[in-house]
Amino acid sequence: MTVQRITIDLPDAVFRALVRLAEATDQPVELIVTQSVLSNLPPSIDNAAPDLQAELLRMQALSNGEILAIAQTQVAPERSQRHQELLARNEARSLTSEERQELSALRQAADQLMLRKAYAWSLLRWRGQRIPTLEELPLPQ
Amino acid sequence: MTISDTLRRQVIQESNHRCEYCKTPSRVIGMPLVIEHILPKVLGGQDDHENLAASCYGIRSIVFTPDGSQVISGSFDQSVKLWDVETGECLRSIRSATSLGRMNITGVKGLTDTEIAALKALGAIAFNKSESPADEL
Repeated sequence: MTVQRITIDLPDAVFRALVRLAEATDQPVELIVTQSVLSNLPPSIDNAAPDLQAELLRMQALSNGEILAIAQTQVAPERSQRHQELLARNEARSLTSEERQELSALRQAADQLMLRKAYAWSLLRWRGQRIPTLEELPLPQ
Repeated sequence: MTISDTLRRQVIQESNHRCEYCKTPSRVIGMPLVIEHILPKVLGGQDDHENLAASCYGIRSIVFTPDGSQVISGSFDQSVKLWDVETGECLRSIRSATSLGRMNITGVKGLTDTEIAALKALGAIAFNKSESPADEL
């Protein structure tokens, strides 16, 4: 594994805490710092679809409140109802080709929303925010 | 007969608010679960409790072949079945994912990248995806 060396500025209190831990565990402070970085890398966008990657990267610049709003986004009820209606009619095979395209677009939008929501939660966690349990999240209506 | 709101709620409640196919909780999807027929209605499936499953928006349990004569259905018991639309006869039923090899499904349109990837992974598509448009097999 090749390595790169950089110099970083740490708040004094953080540095002292790292040094104390290094001394108490008889390890080099550099190793403690490296482990700290490796265990908390920013969420990757590499596995997202290319057309979504730029948008996910832009989320990095948002405030915690703005990211939380994305994480909590729900599909608008009228959109969700339309989606369900088209799915039901698709099952009965009664969609026109325009409606089929509409269903495809709704599905893609829902896919992308779920990805944005997941990425928003992972960003908040990376920033040290508390992530709610599944039960704490509201049920979509 | 249509599905009553009570039955709809009951099926979703029993799913523990997770898609019965992919197990994704509706709380992280951001959209309510939908009710789907395990045996498609076009094949005589009823609106009975035991034929209903709570599903996320992404599941399409049935796909028609291009000539409309056959239907491929997926079910949360992890079986994939090929049906004759006219007779309602189940032509083929597969449970093991690896047995999908050589089904060689072609001519189906409107699939997402995920569905295509899943079918490829299961061995149901024999050729390289680059040979066809993104949502077409």
